[in-house]
Amino acid sequence: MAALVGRASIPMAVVFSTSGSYRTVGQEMLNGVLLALEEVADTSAFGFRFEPIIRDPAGETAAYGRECEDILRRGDVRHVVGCYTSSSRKEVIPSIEKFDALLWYPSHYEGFESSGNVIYTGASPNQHIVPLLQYMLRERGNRVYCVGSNYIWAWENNRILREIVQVNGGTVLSEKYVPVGSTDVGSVIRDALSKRPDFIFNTLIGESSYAFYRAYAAAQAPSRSGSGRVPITSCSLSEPELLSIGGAAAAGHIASSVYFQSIDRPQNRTFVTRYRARFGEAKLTSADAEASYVAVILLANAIRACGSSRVDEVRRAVYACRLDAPQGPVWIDPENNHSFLTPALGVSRADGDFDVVWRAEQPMKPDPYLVWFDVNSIGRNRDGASGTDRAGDRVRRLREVPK
Amino acid sequence: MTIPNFRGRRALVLHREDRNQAAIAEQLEKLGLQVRVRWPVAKAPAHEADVMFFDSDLGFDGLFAWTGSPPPLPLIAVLGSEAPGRIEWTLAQEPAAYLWKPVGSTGVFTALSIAFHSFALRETREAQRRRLEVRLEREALVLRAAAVVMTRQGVDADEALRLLRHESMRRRLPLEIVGDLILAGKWLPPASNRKPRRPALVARMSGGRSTG
Repeated sequence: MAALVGRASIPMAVVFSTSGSYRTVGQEMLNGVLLALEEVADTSAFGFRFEPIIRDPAGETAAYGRECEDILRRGDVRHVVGCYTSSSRKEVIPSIEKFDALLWYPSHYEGFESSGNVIYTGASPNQHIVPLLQYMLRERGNRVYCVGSNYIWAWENNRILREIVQVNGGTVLSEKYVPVGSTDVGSVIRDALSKRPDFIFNTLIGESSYAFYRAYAAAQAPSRSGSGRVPITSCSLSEPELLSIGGAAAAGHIASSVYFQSIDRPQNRTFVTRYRARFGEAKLTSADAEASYVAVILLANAIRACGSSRVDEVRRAVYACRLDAPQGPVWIDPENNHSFLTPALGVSRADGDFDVVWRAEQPMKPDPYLVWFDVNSIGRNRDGASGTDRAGDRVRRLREVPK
Repeated sequence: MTIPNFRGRRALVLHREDRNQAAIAEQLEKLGLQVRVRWPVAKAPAHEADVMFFDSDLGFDGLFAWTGSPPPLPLIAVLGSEAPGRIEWTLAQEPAAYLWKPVGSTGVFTALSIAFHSFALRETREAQRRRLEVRLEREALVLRAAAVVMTRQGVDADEALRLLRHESMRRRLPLEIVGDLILAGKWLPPASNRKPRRPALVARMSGGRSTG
């Protein structure tokens, strides 16, 4: 602890795109980090504060690598909080590993990665797309229309979806891709409506996604509002994005997320209150803001526990940290550096909030490679038995018991 | 095995401009290859290169000019993402070697060596397979023709095959052409006096030897 006595200052890189095509989400993430930084600074028990070095790669993949390398070359920065898209993360990992730093990555993503130099605080595929499909196949049907931004997030989620839907005797009616940033969605909407799916699976990001929701609402008969429409489902739709979509077009859609602003817990009420006090009363919290906040608080707790900001010591210490986060208990799985998180499903409202319609009973072990996921376990539980009650999943259940 | 030398070979690198692309091009130049880099690109033609590197993260159907498999030249996949969908697409291109991102100062030489080696091996085996396939087809045709002769002329398998071979030598035609003529009903060997000894065709077809 000696090194940190006397309110030491620990430098930290913060790399989010607060400009560019996914700036809304980048700003949310930055806000989450800023809130946590101030909380650490204001809490005397920590005995230190972070000194942020903030960079904006403006959504340009190569810029993430440049900014990160530039900061790490200084030699005194060991922790980087940042990145949103998988391509941005892949871009910085070589530098992170070269300098043996630690990247705190606060976004849900498609999985299939596990670096010893990354702590992943966003949802893994078994925590976002799997619960969504479990619910939709049971509640709505198995004829699915897919639309996404033309990159890995959409490709991989659609591949997982195809596998699950086909095993359940369903049909993927179409798989349409739109270039990242494009708002030219009219022909996709006409096609989707004509094919009459049970639900639409949307992996568009940023402006493309907002344009899609707006045009979708505009293309409906006036009588078909809210629950009368074929729902659009998503694993990334968040509260601030509902505001970006605006009004009735934002209502009645289904999102899978480990965090919703409407989750009713004292820890979340505090989080929302502080967030609004800091960034404005009209601001909404989101999964991206929460995961970013959680990343910094986990890091702070780990540093406090081991008395050092050295990467090897912090990593060892963070495995023992258990955080009562706004969403619920969160901790890191030492097997893969991803987080135990609590999946939930929400139906969007026009006012920018979600009504939570389902929530897992306890935090779920992250499974970034879907090693423990059995595609046959989905959709066969219509009698009401949950997947984890099956004998074959006993081992897995034991692994999920909170520490 | 001699030490591989790639001097003068033409390499085409289908990869977006970044540190990996630069590292690959730099290494290839050091190894004496003629390097060209292209991105964005579609329908990259095989005749412009002796070896192609391609980005498996951003690759798409239509990246290469050819369709079907195997590819006409050695391909080297440059992998970043381990998402199964990307691996699935990459495997479908049948690369001869793989290179991992981030690409550094090592790896390119090994990937080239593996690619040319396994491509040559694959070519050899493919040619061998084609030869065997032709031979199998030919033998099946001859046996079908022999069966016709057996039925029509009441001879055993050995005699039917002897008649076919005899005609093949007499006319200086390959055996399967004679077989074709028989199957097309255009020719039949004259009836022989020999009596069938046993139904030997089945034994012959399953690899049994004639007892003469």
